[in-house]
Amino acid sequence: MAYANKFAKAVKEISESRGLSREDYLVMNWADDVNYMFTNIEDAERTITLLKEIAVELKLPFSKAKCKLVGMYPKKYPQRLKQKIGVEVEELVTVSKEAKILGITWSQPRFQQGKIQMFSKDADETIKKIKEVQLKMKRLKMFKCFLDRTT
Amino acid sequence: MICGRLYLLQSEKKKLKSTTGLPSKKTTRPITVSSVIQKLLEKILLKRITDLVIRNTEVENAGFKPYMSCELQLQRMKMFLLNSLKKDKPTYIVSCDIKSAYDNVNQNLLFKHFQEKILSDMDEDPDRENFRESTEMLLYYILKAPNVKIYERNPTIHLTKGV
Repeated sequence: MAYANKFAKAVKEISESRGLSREDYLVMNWADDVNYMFTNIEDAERTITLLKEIAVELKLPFSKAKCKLVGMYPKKYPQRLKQKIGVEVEELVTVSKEAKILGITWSQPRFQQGKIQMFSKDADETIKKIKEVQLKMKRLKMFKCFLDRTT
Repeated sequence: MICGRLYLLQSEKKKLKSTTGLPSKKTTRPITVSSVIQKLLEKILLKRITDLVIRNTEVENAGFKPYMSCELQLQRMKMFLLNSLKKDKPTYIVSCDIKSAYDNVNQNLLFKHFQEKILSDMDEDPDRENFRESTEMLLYYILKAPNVKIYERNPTIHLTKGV
């Protein structure tokens, strides 16, 4: 978690110094799972290089297989994705079509009749389940049963 | 003071035993159940350091923190993604599992290290050559260690030194 915190701090500082707004990047850490979202491939590339540099600084081994880059496009998935991403990034990270974050598989959305038919269904279902769990926890608290951790 | 009880849990499906009668590495999982005193000490420590840790962690770093739930993080991600898609902008997700990518402990190396440490403390034993796996040897020497008491009724080990 300490490392995740360090990464979040470094990514935030670099993004803010480059003049990026809240709409251009998102830092989402969950315990030891670190996730970043960017609207520009160059920012994503910089972050991956930064992750690699931190690993060298902290004398930690860096596994390419466990670091993923997923591209999601507003219309159609471009077939020439490799050309866009660049060879340097490919050497550092696994370019994938999907990533599992917080139990949801995030991948290229599907479009039907101009509307997005995609992960939102899965995301909605997951949020619904979480709400159910939270409700149960509230009921437990009513009976003076307390849980140490919150989901 | 008893710090905890070390239970050796064996898989029900694969109750394979080696020639020496000790459980093998693949089917055994040790679990430590802390004592009441240790739990109390942990609670006191937790109460003292929680505020300090929360103050020094970033807002984006969620997980087991008040007001930073899984639901909130999901909503944030969804909103960001929908917003960029509506503006005809692509989204690039960089996902990294720190535990696996940076801090993957090699269990075989760890056991080898423990084994060497225990062996250096103990006299040479003629039975040592009969063990096939390093884990079997490790368990054998743990059970023989002077600070360990074994209760025959329950398969538990009481550790009298810090875990």
